[in-house]
Amino acid sequence: MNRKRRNTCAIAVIATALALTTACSNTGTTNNGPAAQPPAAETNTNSPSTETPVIDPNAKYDPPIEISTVRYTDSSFRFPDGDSIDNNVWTRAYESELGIQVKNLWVVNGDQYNQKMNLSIASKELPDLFMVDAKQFRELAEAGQLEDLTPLVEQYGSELTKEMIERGTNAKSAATYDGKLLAIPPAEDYYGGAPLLWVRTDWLDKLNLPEPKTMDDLLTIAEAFTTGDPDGDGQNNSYGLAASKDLIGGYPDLSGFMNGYHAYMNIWIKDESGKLVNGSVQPEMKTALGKLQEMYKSGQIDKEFGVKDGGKAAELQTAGKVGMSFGAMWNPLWPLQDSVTNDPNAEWGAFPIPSADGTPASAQSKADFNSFWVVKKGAAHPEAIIKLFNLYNDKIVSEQADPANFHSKDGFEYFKYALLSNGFGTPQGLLSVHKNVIAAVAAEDPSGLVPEEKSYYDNIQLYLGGDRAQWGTNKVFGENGSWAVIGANYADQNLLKKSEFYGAPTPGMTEKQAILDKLVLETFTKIILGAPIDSFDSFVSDWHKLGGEQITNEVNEWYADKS
Amino acid sequence: MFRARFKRQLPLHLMVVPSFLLVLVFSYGPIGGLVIAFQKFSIVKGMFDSEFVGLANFEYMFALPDIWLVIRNTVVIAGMKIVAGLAVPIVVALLLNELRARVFKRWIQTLIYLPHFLSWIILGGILIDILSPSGGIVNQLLGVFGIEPIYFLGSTSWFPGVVVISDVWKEFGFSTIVYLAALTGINPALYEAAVIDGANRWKQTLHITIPGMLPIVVLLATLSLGNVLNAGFDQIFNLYSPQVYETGDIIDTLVYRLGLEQAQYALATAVGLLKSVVSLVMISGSYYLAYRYANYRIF
Repeated sequence: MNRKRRNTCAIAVIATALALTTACSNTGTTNNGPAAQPPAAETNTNSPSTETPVIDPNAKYDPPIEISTVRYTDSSFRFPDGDSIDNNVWTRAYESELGIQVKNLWVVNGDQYNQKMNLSIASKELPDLFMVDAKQFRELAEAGQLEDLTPLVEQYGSELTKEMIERGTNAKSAATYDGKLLAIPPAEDYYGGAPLLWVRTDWLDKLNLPEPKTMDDLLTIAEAFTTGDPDGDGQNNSYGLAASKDLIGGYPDLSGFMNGYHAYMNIWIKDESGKLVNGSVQPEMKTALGKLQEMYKSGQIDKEFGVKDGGKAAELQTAGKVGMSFGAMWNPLWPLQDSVTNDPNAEWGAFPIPSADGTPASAQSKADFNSFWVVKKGAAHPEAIIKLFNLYNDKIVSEQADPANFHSKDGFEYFKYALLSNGFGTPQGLLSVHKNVIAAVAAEDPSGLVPEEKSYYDNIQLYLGGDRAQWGTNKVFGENGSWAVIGANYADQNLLKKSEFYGAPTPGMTEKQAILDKLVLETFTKIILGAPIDSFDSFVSDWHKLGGEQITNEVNEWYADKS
Repeated sequence: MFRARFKRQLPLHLMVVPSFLLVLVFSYGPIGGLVIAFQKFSIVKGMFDSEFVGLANFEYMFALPDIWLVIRNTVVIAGMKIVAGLAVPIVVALLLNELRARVFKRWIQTLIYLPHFLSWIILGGILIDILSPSGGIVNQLLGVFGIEPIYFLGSTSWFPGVVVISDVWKEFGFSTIVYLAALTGINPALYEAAVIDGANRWKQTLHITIPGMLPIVVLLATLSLGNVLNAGFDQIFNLYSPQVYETGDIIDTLVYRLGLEQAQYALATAVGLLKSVVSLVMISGSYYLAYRYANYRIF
């Protein structure tokens, strides 16, 4: 590709024998003559009128500079004809608006990125600008191989960039090492993973049951769904609650059930004394597991859940055999949409986590900060990362955003091509999308919507017009959908239990987390399947012995250092 | 004399050079990377600057709480697979060899060979369905004989057996082909002579067919003993679940969770090295025994 361009240039030069090097000047190596003409300056918001050379954060590089980076793509990356990860709307914008030529040292498939990155780190062939995971970030930070971005954000960051960096306090703290901001903080999304309760509301109506307000309601409903023949086929073949062998995860997520008993699986919570403790080994968990055991024993949970993964569990639920499940906000799109498509009567309702006692239940959520855009120590233009992020925010987030050209259009997801695209989203996350869409649906006026919101609006209109294939979108963004419940409960009433630990894995975690995960999963599964509930007590002491105590201490040290 | 022969063979030597280089670069070169098994490996420092810790990674591995259980599972499952993986294809090959209708023989050969091409990720999903105690076809069949449904994949006592049987089912067609090939190599004159001497089918099999295929059996047995610590990662990873960890968790799945999910490359390398050493010992040992008692040599 490079050689081709050089050849074309060479031929052009020989053929015309003219020193019009403009065609070649974009290689950036020769800038003898024509570079004198400055390109029309971009909109200078803070115009430098003072005599001293002030830094203009928006200045275009002239001559253009080259920034090396590394990328990944996957099957979801689709490009319009002629475009590629090396040449697309974003790379062209970087060059024309910022004077930055992005050079991809390598591009791999998404699932190989981390390994390839490890290789690059190990062989010390770091690009100028790259993305790392939490563990790589910590290793590089400890080895002093990353550029401090703190002053650069001050000098070059636009208002919006600063806002985006500040928007998630935990994310910012995860991107900070030794008091220095070493990475653009990733998006902080605690709502997207929080469990909701999904209930077949048409079954509720059929069996004359109330909506689940408490855990007792939930248990009653689960029993009725199991024994009351809600699917009306005369057979005792339905289940109350969905479960899978992983116990928790986006779907089906038993952590929602545990949260009803104020038990929080695998996250770090604060105890009364203000210390961080692991939710899996707290006494509340014993109660929750006991209830699950009762449900399993009485046939309200699939007898074979212990060998099924989420996909297998979904088969049962979409076949109309399961009446309740806990899961994340995207569950209506998958798997519930399939249930609605299969059965014209099926209708699912979203509910906040019911509580077992007077205290409202909080949904657990953990944000894994695992993608950090960083700059190699000693890069020629470390400030370029801020300029690139400015541009990103300008095109995607700001009032003057240009989503049709830079976000997505006609099925092409342009935003994926962008560098730093994990800074995606507004401070409110999809909650604001939901609010805008709801308002537009109420007013029947989509004119104020950005294209992403407009596409949801259109789908919701289709659903309201009777198209059940769009049920999922409506249930996520529309009235009484996921985000409505999240907004009214988890956001407005603050009923969200965030994991208090969000640093890179501690040494103890690296060594022992796998052992502990196995212990937790094995013990919990066995208890649900009928092992004596008191085995929980010996489990707790085993957990501490096998490394849990060490990890707890490390997590508390991290917590003390952070504040 | 030597020069003349070398000159004649030169083109052949040249043809070997590329593959020789490839083996050198991709098989022998990476052996140097084994050094990280003795290091506290940090990706930032790389394999040249990481701190040496001697056998600490091995000590850590053998100090893991479940390690002996996991080693036992591995050896039990791998051992059963080795035995069944040898016996079943030999018997099938002998039986197929007796079939007169060639078309029928070809059909069977192809059909039993097919599962070899399916990946475990697909078979995992299929097995969960057909072995389900509530609606799986296997348990429905057993129900016809009045047998209570068996929770094959959820029971600690059944799980290793299911793993071995499904693995044999998947692979026996492939090994059968190897034995059938060995059978075609037996000189037909031997059979004719045996018939003249009055040997029946059974005697022919016993005195001609089996001795005729013995070298290849010994070869495959010798090689398969190297697998004594390989219980089949991709199969078990797709079939196991927390409730059968007790009899189903093997070294490879443990190392996957420890070494890759937690990015402990040094540990993963140490375990890999350990497995290779055990394989080497087993293969050398069995080769020596085969040479000593069956007078069989590969080299």
